[in-house]
Amino acid sequence: MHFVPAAQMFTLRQYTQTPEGLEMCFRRLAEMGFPAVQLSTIGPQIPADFITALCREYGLEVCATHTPLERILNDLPAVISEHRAWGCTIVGLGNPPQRYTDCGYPGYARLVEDLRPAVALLKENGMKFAYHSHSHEFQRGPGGRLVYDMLVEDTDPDAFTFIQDTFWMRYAGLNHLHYIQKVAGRMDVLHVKDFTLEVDHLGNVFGDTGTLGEGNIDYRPILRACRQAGVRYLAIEQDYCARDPFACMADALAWLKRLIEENRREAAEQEVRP
Amino acid sequence: MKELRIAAQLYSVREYCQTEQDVYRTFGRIREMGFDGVEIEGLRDVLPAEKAAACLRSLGLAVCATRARQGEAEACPQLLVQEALCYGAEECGIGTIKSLYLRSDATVAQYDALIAPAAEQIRRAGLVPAYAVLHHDFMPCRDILTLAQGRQDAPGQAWQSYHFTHMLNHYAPGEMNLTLDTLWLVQAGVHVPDVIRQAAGRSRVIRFRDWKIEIGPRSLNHPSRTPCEVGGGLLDFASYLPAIRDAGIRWITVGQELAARDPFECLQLGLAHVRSLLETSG
Repeated sequence: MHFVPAAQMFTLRQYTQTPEGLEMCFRRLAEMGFPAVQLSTIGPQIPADFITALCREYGLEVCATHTPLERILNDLPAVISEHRAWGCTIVGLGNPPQRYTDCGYPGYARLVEDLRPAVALLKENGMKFAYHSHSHEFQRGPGGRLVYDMLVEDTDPDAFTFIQDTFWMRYAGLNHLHYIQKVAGRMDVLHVKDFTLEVDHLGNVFGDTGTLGEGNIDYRPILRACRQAGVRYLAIEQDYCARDPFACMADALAWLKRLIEENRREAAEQEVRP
Repeated sequence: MKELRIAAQLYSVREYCQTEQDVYRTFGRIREMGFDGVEIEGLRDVLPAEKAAACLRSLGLAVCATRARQGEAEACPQLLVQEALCYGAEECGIGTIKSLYLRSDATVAQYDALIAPAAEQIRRAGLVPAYAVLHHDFMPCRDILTLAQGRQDAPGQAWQSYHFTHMLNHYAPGEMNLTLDTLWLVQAGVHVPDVIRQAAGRSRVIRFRDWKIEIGPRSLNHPSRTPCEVGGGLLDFASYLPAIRDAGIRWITVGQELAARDPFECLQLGLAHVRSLLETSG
């Protein structure tokens, strides 16, 4: 299979704060048929080797993590050791702290500099750093340059990689296909969620994250672009679940598997036809 | 293929359309900038259509469309028709559906029945009624039973964009045009070129508006999407042009919801940006 579905654990964060809860999540995700997970918002007291054991027991691959910046900057050897035990080569950052983001473009530039030694050390150890973007990376700095363009152009292409998020790209009104191409070869994991329209109690319509397959994002062109760009993992995520989050994940996985199969057949037909 | 023409959205300079003299000056400035026409909105209380139309004709400015406030088409269709004819517009705006009608197949049918007389009057006058597409046209149906049936019949995407799909199915091309607006489309989270192509043959005017991301020391997860002049933000208008041409759209209107600087300067910047895109795209 070209694309591997993964479960972004942020979706189940209310259950991942204790060892028992995490085990229950892994068991249910494995039963649903998920082959992989992205570790995120895991209870900080849960030992890393417990997670290692769970991954082995339930046969779940760890495609990437979201690791707190403070650990990346100040505890990287331990982070590398944990990732090695999990068989994971992608150390991700979910969201920079406000001390960087509140400063706009200069703050992000400072973040890039602060991360350079860590990115270099990860590279030496056969690993990569992955920056997970939202919409705020599309603000402009000096000369109108986008923060995101700076993140792409001013960093090591071999070791500073990206995790884009389909909802946040849509939220910003961006041409997502353009940005998938921009990071071709530098994005192993894409966060996939949907964009649904909801109505608040005042009758205002607003966009929110929804269960994959139930919103307005057409994934066919996205998967085509991802195939060309070398994306491997499609991490299903839903920031807020109006119903049981496990049901949301199961429905999303079923929908995504159908789409992956459709993409596979389309790619195979294109290989046959010149 | 007819060349795309560019009009100014009068709503963008509404503070400069508060008196009769203001309106004449505004029309003059729009002409000097080099726009081909205007999109009429909000002038009725300031200047009779006959006077406004005469001024526009003397300046060589066409009227690509008129816009109606919500509920106007149902309440006073004849007035809208008279104005559209006076301005020489091809389309007569009929507004947009109220959210309360988006609850079920039955309530949508109520809205269809509500606007049917106005739409018919507009057609009899030789005009095409034009429905303003907003983000709420891309919501799923809110009726649980209709939603459940839709998910069963076509799992996944088919039951999204409920009212937009209904408009495509309920009206034949020529019976009801759809006025697309880029800012409403991105708020709906849809792929803009796809929606433009779906409206092929039913859309003569597309409204270009833009926004940018601006951050303050507040929640990261909902950054501010600040309206700005066309070309000053994040929307990829160049990627919309092939779909716009394929769909047979004839007018691009340029404007901004809010202006951080002089709104005429914003219009000028927007016009320059669109012209540059049209020249580059050939």
